[in-house]
Amino acid sequence: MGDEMDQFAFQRFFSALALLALGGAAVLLAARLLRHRIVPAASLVDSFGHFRLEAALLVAAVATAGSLYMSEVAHYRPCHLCWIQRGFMYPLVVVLALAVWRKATGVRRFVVPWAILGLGVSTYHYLLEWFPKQLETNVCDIEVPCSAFPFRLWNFVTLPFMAGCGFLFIISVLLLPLETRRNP
Amino acid sequence: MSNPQPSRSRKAAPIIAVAVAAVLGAVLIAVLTGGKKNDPAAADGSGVAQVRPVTVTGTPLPKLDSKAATDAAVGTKPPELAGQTFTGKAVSIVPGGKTKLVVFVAHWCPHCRAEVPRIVQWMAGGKKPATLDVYAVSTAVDPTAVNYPPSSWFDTEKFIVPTIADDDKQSAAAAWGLPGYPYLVLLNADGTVAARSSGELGSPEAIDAWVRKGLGLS
Repeated sequence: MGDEMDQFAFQRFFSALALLALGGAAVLLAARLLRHRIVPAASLVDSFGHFRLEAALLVAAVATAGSLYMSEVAHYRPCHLCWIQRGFMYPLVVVLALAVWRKATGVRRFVVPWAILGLGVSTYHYLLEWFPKQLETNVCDIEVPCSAFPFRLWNFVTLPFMAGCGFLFIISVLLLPLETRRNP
Repeated sequence: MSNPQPSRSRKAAPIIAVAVAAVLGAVLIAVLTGGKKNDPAAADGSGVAQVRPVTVTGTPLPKLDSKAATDAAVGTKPPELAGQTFTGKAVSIVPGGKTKLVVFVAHWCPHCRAEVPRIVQWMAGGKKPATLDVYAVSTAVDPTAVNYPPSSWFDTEKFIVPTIADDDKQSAAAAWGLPGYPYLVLLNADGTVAARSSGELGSPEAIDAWVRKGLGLS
């Protein structure tokens, strides 16, 4: 019983982080669009713009830790679409850590398209969970079918949803311009 | 004269510290609190276990190939299954005697969760041939997956038929040639396979039509 409660607590914890990432991504995208019209938006873009690599690294690292927790501790078996999303997320930790270390802001040219591909897979996987018959087949694979999900918290948060939130935040933060205000 | 700006590395230090602390904290909590997998073979306080020993006697059926034009198992006899219900009561599926429909389901499979209510509706609707006995096999039990435990799912859906709780090696499912979930096997009165199907049939009417066609009643 205790283990089930712990597992449920972690589901909630990582689900909450995913929603925070989703909210953060929405705020950053809005701020980016409104930065020339609204001063607080410009300030936010300025502040985050300086640390976009670090912020992206933070989310990629937490997403990776969460993913490893789900498979290695909670024993959820990853399906093949989960593995593809892992393939897009895990390398980002190394690449972004190196970029932070080397101050290589240009890395976003490669990371953003990479994360967009990851977001695409997450989106497809999430839709597959809702519409398995329409998008896949009418049968569950004998191993680990992608349409089966170990949990759906609050009736909408599942593992690909969490991954998608992570990718979306990374894309949003890396799309921030470095400077919005120029010195006269 | 502009104000001196803190260096970028000094600005980044708190963010990196938060990142490292968040990851380490998550991993630490995970390691300290998580871990053990529920044992589906262990009976709960009321004697209910989700997997039970199964004995298979006879020649296994070949795995169903849904894409093949004909099913090689049709006309052959499946092996006899001797197992237990979730509560430990003995159940056997012995080919022959009466026509039988055996439904293999996995509790976490969304297609099984969609199909079971249709089977229940078909049975309750009075369309089921009177001479047909319906059995279920709960297989591929995963205590970490959704809709666990299957015994509660069966109760909720009022899927009340003689049910074998398959073992953790899925011996019953493998012996009957299961290719995916859900999986239906229809047996003639002489015990031979009349038809097999894997995947949702989609409606009580479709289930009825498939059964009647398989048994030559339509």
